[in-house]
Amino acid sequence: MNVVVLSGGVGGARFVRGVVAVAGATSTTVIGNVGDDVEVLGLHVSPDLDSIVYALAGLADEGRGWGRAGETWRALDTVRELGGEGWFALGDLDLGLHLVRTQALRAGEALSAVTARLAEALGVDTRILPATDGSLRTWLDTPAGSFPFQEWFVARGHRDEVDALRFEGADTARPAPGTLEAVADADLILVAPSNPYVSIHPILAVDALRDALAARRVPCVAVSPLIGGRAVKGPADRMLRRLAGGTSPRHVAACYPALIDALVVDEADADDLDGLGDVQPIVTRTLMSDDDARRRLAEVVLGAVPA
Amino acid sequence: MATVVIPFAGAAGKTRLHESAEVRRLLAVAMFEDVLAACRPVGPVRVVAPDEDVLEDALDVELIPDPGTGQGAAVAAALEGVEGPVTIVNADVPCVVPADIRLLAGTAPALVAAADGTTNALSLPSVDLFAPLYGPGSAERFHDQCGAVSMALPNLADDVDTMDDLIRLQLRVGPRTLVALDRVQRGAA
Repeated sequence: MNVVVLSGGVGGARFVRGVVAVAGATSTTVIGNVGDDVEVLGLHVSPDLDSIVYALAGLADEGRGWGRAGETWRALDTVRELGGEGWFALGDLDLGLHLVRTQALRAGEALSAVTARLAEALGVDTRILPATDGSLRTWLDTPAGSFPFQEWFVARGHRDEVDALRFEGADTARPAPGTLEAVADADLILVAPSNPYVSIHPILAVDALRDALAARRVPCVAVSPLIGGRAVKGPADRMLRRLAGGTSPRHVAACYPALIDALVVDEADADDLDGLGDVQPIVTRTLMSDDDARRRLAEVVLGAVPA
Repeated sequence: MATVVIPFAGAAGKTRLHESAEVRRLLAVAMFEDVLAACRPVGPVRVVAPDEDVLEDALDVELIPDPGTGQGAAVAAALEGVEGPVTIVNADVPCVVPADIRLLAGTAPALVAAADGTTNALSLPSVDLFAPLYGPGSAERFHDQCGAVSMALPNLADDVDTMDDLIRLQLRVGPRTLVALDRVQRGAA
């Protein structure tokens, strides 16, 4: 069975690990968000793609959920010693990857090609594709002004309420090579329990990719990122409250109009399933606290394919 | 080259930082490690701390057991056997970079006061000049006692007592503190 997963970073990467464990590494294709890619110290950083690569390579820092385990910070110490910008936590191990990717991009290699190369070099068999090789960047409009994603998330600690999101470059962004084929060949499409607004919508902002997903002939199942109406991590609940009017399963489903056939929700939300319309609810435990929990969630999601 | 002393109260200090002892320890250790990283390029470092496991990877750093009777006594214990100039840097100034400590050491006797008048960092041309004067109003007392001039070094003046302090300083803290803060803000700790 060919499975395509649309995924953001931390929570998405954890979910992808579970899917790969159940469906198999080579049967799974991940389409990752690049809206929060950022240039730091002259280096191209793709936080969400990297979280997925590190998670599947077994290199991720489980405590943090992003970056590599056993990370050290000598290079950034030197950057700060020299008066350089130190607001984005690039570890010594992580920097090695950013150096190679940046050089490859400057030499004209596409992000999809270099991502594939890096993943392979780290022993990852699963195909990890950026949504686009073009420049697509998430901007957030807030009462305090308009900010690119990382400035809002890291520098401002995502404390500003979000009134609207923009995906700069989306109008000309073409789907990365392999993405449309993966969707066409899929037997099942999954949306990871990532933040719909800042992790999944930037993927759907690539028109041709969104059209392909809307025209699918196979089921698409999303996993809600909320448990009991609250985000496990990050600002998803706050954003849903402000932008969708609530944090019930129907508000999550409304983030994916005409795109999903089923929504996996946590047992804590089982009493709140009104208003889902054609979207079939699947109730299970969604907290991915360890490998077993991840695997169990993936089994439910992969097994609960609506007819 | 000045000997640099870092008194680190461990997880026991920083009681106002967070209600969870686990989070307090995570943040306090991260801030200490950023301070340590900034001190190492400046000179030989001595850390005085109550628990030994804070230094597991720092073989070049000398660990002195904290006698447990306050910061003055802790620093005095760390200075035993030290000769020549000495700079003392508190463990709760996570924005510090080596240049700040070099400036302070190069101006000895000098100090950087916190907003509340306590002393965040102190440099002395000779270890003999040290007196255990820490506590409220200590910046003024160090000035009176050894003529230490007060220096306006923001990275050393900005100490962290509360989460609000940390969030306000988020863009300037060292990477270990930045990562620890990120963990706390994402609810991972």
